[in-house]
Amino acid sequence: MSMIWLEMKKIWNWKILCALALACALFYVMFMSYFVSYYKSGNHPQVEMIYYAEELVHLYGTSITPEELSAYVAAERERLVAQADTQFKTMPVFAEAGIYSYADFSRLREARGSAFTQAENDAYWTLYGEACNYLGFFLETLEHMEEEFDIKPIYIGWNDSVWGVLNEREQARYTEIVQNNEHHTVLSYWTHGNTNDYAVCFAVMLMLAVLILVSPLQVSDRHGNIHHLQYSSKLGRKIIHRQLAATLLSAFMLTTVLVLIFGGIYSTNGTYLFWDANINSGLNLGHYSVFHMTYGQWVTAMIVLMYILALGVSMLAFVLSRFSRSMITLIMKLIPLFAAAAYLCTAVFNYSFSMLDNTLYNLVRVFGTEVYVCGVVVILALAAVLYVVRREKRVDVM
Amino acid sequence: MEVFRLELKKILRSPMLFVFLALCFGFNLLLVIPRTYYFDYADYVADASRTTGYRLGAEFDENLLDLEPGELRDWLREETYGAADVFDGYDTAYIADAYIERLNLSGYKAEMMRGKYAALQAAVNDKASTDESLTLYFASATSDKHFGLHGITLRFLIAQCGILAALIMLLSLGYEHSSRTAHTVYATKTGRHIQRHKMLASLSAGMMAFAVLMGLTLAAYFALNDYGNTWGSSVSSGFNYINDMLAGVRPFVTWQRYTVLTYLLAVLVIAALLTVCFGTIAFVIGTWMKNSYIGFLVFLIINAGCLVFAFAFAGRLPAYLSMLSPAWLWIKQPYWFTDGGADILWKNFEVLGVCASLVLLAGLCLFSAKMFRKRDIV
Repeated sequence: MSMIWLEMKKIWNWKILCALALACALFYVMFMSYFVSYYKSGNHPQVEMIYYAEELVHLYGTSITPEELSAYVAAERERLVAQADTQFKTMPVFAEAGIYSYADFSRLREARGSAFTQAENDAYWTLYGEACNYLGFFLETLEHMEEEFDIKPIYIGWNDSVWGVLNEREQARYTEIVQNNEHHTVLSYWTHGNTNDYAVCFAVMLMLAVLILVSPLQVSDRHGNIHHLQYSSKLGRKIIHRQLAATLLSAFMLTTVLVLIFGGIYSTNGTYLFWDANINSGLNLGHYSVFHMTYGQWVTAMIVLMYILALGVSMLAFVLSRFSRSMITLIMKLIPLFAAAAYLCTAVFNYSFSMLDNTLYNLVRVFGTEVYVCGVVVILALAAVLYVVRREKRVDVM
Repeated sequence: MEVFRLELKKILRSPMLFVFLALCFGFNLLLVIPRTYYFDYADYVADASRTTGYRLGAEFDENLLDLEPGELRDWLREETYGAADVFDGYDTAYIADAYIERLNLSGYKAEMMRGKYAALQAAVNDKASTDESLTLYFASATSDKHFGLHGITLRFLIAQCGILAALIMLLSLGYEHSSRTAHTVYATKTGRHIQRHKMLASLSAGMMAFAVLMGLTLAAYFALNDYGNTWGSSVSSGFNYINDMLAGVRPFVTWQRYTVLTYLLAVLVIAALLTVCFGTIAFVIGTWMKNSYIGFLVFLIINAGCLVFAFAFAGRLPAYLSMLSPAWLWIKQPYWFTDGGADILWKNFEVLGVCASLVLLAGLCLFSAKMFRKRDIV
């Protein structure tokens, strides 16, 4: 055990850790911070949809019946229409367009697409703008919410072309979603999409971090000819087992640290509120998960898959490191490995377990494809590592 | 010269370098081979240009009628018959106004932005007088085709060449440490000056890698993408446009007159100089750091840092200056030789950026090499 600890001390080199911390910080700022900073203050109607989803969870919990939703929408709509009517009376821009009530505005909105006069155009976008606290977006979101909540289960049924692309097992799964009322929960597609995009970026960063940390161990040992010394010791050629264990343990620890840090940062935007909401929520338009799972279970499943991939990639890095004579040749091998790992991450984690959105699933149409793919990566990596470990017994020292 | 030759030999004896080059080429083939929906039409336009020529007008219309009738010919005729010169009466001042308003620019930044687009007006007037917009390029497939080459393929290629140049430089600089000859080599007078030879050898090898990778990838690209007789078309063809988030869709205006061929050559020249910039950044890092692995990480961090720096100081002068860094020049590669958009204050930003970077890096290289000569090697 102490030997593994000593090998880990070599891996957790402070210079590499500093570079790793900087690389992760830059990666976060460039690709991930957007999903935290602009989750609730970004585009419209994303902001409004998330606001209502949170309101509904506070009032009814993560499960909600269509009747409860209709009651909430009716009450909220009445309140917003009253607010809008006040704006119509006080702001001259509406009078100039001949809008004096919400009914007038609705008529104008129905005509959207046909030519607006300048006054009508100004009035229209004023209600959707900051001057009216984005009332237009709030009202429109309410209407969509009610529609989308029930549209979800019949969306496929109505659209023959989409229904036609589902195979028997998928159709059975869709029927199960409807029968079990899995869609009667609160999780907006903006929340699901935001978490999904963050997770994909995080997975790519994790692969990069694991490769940076664990790869140099064997090259630096061989560069100092330490392996000659190691081979002359009692432990001899079994040292590679300890190095492998140290590599795997380091990858596991680094994954844990990064999950805690970047999971913690992401939790500041409050998406954990939907932890128990079913992923097939009626508000998560167009998403049909192959498994009955909550948002929390989906996040947990992704984290488990990230651990598996991180361990697989660390084993492959270990093998490449064993066959590299210098750090630069190692980097020349790591760059293609990272490119492949990053591509795999986008394929596995982009709407994982989704019937229509996941690239890997759409290729093979097998439930749980993402798990099988990660399993195959680990098996291949394990086979490569076993080959290297067994070869080490016979290889010429000099 | 002998030392230079030996240093170059050391670099070229690394088999992994060739494997990496082959992998890069393999990756580039994945970019080049897939065909998208607009390819059939682009191929037809290229083929038609052999008969019609690339300059639009009455002669073009007549020659077009000689082609075999069909849907694609009708489509091309619809797009080209009576085409108007987009530069006739085109005023660039609205672009400056849109940027100034949307980005809240004031003071000297607003003045510089107005100045840049006032200067661009002269280029527009020149293009209007020579009917540059009335050239075929790839008709309505132009923007996709142009961005496919300049925005995707060449951007990946330049990134690969930059990384290769940096790796080659670090490989050469770290060679004495990795083969444990540092103490012997650096103990001699020639050894202390060897960095100069290593640098020249690495830059030469980097340029060789640039030539091989660019040559092979572009050969594959042009073997799969017929350009017919469109090489003489202006890149500022009326069919080529920039989708600008702040100023809307607008013509692709270059400062000088460029045909498809001369624009590609000009891009390759800047790309080669940018590769030298990345190589010299690696030289500065490699001279100070013994560990090439950490050195490469620092190289990546510095370039990523330049990108983040612009966001951190958005709207301020440091952010505009950082746009001249090699990392940002690479990002802005599809807009080389144009006005560059909202985050560029200067005319010909790519030439200015490359020259400024080379001058700055040359100074840093000289300083690093001088410090290396005095450094304790133990």
